[in-house]
Amino acid sequence: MNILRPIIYLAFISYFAATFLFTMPDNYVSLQFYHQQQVFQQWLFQRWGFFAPPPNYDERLYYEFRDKLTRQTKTFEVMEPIVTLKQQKAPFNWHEDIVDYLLSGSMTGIGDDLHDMRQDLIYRNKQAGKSATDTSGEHMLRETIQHGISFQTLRNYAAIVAQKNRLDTARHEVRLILSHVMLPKFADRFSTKPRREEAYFISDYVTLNR
Amino acid sequence: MALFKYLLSLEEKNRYSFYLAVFRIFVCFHLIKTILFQWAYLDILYGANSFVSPVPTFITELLGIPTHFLREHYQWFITAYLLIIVLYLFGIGKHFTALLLFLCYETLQRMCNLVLNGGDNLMKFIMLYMVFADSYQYFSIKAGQFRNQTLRRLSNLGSNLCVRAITLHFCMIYFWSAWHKIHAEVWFNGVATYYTFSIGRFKGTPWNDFLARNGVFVTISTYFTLIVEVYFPVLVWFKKTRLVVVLCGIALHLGIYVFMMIYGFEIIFIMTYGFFFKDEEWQAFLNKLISRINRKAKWKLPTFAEFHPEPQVYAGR
Repeated sequence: MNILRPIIYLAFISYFAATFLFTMPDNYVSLQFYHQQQVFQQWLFQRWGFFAPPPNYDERLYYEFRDKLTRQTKTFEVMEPIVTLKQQKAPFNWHEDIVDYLLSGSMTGIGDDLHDMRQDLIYRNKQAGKSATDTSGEHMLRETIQHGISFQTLRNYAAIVAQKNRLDTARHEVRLILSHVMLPKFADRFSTKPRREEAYFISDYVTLNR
Repeated sequence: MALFKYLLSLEEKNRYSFYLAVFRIFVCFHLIKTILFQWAYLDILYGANSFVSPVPTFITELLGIPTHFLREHYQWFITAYLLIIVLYLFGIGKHFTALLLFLCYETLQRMCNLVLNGGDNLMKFIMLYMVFADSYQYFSIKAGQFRNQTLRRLSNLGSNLCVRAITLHFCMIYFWSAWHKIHAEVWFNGVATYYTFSIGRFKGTPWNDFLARNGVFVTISTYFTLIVEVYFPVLVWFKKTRLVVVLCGIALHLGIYVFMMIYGFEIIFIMTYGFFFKDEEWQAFLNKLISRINRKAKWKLPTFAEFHPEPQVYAGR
């Protein structure tokens, strides 16, 4: 016990010191251990910034199906009906809850990736002496997002939406439009103006087959 | 010197044996409930043909089990997972079962991380810490104590440090959560709950809109949330303020449960509060409650000290 005791306490203190260090917001000290933090988060992922800040929008996910031959389009929005059902069936809403988390989580993933990549692009353009992003940059962003896991999940769900609406998946291709319907500011909470909607990602047309 | 004496005292007795057992039971029922709620959608969440794009599970890959193999046979994995939960529920296999359960839970989380929230994140760490705890003194098929003094002291130390780890981690969660919130303008200016009550995904009741438009309610609820998260990590360590701050925390989490449709997360956080009370405090509370029930209903329920027999002492391994 005399040998084990210091080992146990050292391990305990070291673990919590590491946990404290690697969960704090980025700062000069924590960034010195960036690589160690990545390894730590890979094994023991944790993020504790709940609703900080809370979203100030409702999410909308539009699937725009286009007939490959006739070029006719049909658009379906999927988030609002799921959220409405989730509210109506609360607290017995685990089906809607699961689908909501799957879709919303993927949309949030795309939004976060877009934000990070745009920041990186702006920085690179500044370094190169450019004052604004060009279309090739936007095209690269879109391509990168469309190869990501979050987009693949939403694209796969498009096939389910197509089947529900009796669309032939072989004959149609789909475009995803992700948008935010902004909540009015607190000071405008009694306003009767229609809420502003902003699309933050519009994909290319992709096939429905995996 | 006083610190050294305190640290030595952690080896004398498992001070949280009762609540560790209670929480073990809660963990098992919570995990079973989650799987039951997901039952109709297991194929979507964990199957090979799901629309959810797969990510590597990492841990199973380290053991040489490819993720796609796990997804193709997810039914067997879920069956094994449920079996391990049942074993843990009855305290069979003790620390080994606890470790297996943690590994399965971690793997399941990685198989589909989109449906997870902060409660699942906290649960993962609690289950990791409970691998080292003796949570089998109550509500298990065979409670026991090591005859070997070193093993007994190690077991007690592991259990007490497990609870200390849970409580410290819990306080750290509140601390960083408050830190992030204060940095956000909407929390600082007392309007955050207007947004949390108004988002469609989390609008739990028809009264959310009415409450969100009430400036007084929004200000009080926003600052109440901040104050609880800021002061909980400090005040919970003092006997005089512990109960008050725990009750405030329960009120906060119940409010989120009702008004924001976030269920599992809140129950996990509320149940974790129990680790801030030692066996003696739980015993006193339960005895008081049982005496009151016996007095009012004229029953003869046994009190806590009478109910629990002495654990068997068995040879150290």
